Amino acid sequence: MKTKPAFLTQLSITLKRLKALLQPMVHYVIGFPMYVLTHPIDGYYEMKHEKRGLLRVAFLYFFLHAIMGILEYTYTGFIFNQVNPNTFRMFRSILVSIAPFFIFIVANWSITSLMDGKGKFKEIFMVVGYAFFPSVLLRLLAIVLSNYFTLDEAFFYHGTIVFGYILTFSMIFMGIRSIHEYSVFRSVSTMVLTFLSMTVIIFLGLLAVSLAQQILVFVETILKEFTLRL
Amino acid sequence: MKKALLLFTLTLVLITSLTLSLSAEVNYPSYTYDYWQRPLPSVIPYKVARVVLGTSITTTLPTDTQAQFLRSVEDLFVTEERYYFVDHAAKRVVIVDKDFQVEQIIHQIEYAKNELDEPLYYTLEKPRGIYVTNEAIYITDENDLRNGYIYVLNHDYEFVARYGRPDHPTYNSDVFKPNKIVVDKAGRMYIVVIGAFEGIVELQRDGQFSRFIGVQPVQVSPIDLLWRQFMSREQLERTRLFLPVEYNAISLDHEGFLYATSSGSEVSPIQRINPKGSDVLRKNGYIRPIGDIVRMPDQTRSGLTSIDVNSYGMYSVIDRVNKKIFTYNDEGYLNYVTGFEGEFEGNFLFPTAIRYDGENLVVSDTTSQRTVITIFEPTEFGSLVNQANQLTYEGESIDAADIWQQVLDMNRNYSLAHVGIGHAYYRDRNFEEAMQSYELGQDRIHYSQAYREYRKIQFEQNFPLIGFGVMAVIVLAIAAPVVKDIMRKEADR
Repeated sequence: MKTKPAFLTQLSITLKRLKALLQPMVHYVIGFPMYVLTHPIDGYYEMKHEKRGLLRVAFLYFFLHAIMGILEYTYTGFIFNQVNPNTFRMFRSILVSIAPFFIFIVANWSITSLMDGKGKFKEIFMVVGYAFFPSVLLRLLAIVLSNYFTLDEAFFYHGTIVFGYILTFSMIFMGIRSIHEYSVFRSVSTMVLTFLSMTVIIFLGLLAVSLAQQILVFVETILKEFTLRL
Repeated sequence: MKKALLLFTLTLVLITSLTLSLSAEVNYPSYTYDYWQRPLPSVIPYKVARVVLGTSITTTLPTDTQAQFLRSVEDLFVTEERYYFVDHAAKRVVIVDKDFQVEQIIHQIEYAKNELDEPLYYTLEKPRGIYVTNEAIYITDENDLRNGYIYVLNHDYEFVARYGRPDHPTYNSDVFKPNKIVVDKAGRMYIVVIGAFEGIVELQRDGQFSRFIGVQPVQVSPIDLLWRQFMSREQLERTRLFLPVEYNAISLDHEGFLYATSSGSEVSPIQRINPKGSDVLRKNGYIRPIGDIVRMPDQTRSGLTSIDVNSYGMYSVIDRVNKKIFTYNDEGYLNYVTGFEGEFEGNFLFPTAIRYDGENLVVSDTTSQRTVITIFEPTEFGSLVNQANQLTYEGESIDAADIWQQVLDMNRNYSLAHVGIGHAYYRDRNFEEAMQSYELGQDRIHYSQAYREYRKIQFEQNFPLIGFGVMAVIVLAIAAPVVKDIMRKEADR
């Protein structure tokens, strides 16, 4: 009977611990989103009823989606990098990538709660968060590829990104349909209504901002007047 | 310490003297546009060599019956020995030598003698354009409201021919108002006709109409089309017609391509028309050759009204709206901008025509009050840029790189120079350096080409490593299950 050296046993124990630690993480961050992507109907059903999704993972992909613009600006190869460094603003990039989806979530929530939707706000948020998985992954891939592609292969670069977005939007649609337990026709009509209410929200937001601005200017003028007169 | 101080002072003096020599004393700024469409200040490319007032070109020739001096310049032409000015206001053509001494004035052209041996004359009514070849002088004249003529004179100013409205079924307009004219080596005449939307009129050597060439595409925006769907017939009749934009100036390069400008066109105000009649102007620059970019509401779109090409494909256009001269090279890069609105030397009030005289630029500026001929000569910077462009045009990109480097030393903003240096590295098969230069010059197309070559070389050099890596992965993929199996059996034992 041969005996194993001590360090090998130690190593195997450490590896096993590491595996035990990493395996659920990999499962939750990559495995389950992948499962949802490939089996959208089952995936979202399990996410809603068997609580197999994690809010933390949805947040993670929301965050990754938010910083994708910055990553693309920083690491995309010169040929494909069309971002103007003179006008690029980090916070604007984050806002532009997040705001429409956040407004979508709010709008969808408010519409579906009137239209017998079974989904909660948290679940809509998770649907959108998990839906970012393919676009984030493929955009990351595109960043890597852009450093090794010439203009001849531009189609594959742009195609990767566009494919990612197509997957994302189809996942959002399937997810919304699934968590609200809608028929396809119903979910299409709620989508249209969602986009309508999105425009209303944007309009109200802009109105509020411009009104607030005017009030601010008004207060400022009064203060200025006071300081100059006194 | 003292030495260091001395050195410091010396460098300071050197730098100041350098900057002084760089900013030639002119009354206008110069700039180029970068890849992000920002105007960047540039070194002055052309300075005023000579200013000639129309009033100083006087004559005592007996044929001069009207005015004693050059009243206006509608068009001009430059040959080795002479300048030819079309004096629209005084209805004549004034020909002067290089010292601006009047040689000839053409107002009446004797074309025949009658029975009594008295000369019969054609009289210029509204001369508009002139072109001079080795054999003849061509003058376009809009005779009355409807009709105009092209007069051909030989170099002794004797009448050769007169061509009127083309008598041809395809020339379906009964108005013929010739404006500007060029004549190619074979004697074919290309005439920009006022009000002819079909394109440039091409006449054969004997004055026969042959065809229209180079039609500007009609520009209709989708929104306009949508609106037209909702308009009533009365409204449609009142809206303006979608007509092709008409040309207003023309020039000919040594390869026989026509350069034409049209101030109305937003998409392609400059066209390079090949013999087939299509636009082959290269537009590889950071901005399309359209003059100024309009981004602010207070900016006005350029109105390009005159153009001339030099022997190595650089062309200068006059912007009559913003009173500037834009010079592009054959690739379509904006090289520099000259001129400014105003009444000082080198400024314009209403620039009418531009011609190259070797490296110099001759520009006429005419208002009803005054007529000025300004001759610009290149500064050190301008001649370096021209030289580099010429070498690049002739395919000597490696020689051009040295000059581009000098250009860069004078103007760090000059992105085009980086591209030129990149071409030289590319020629040298030094693709890594070429890529760096192209990146500095923001030239993605050439960068891509250089990178493709670089990638190929890298791949070939590292092929053993890549091959080994692929092999290793395959071997591992086969071996791993086997090893695992053995280890499991070991553990079971």
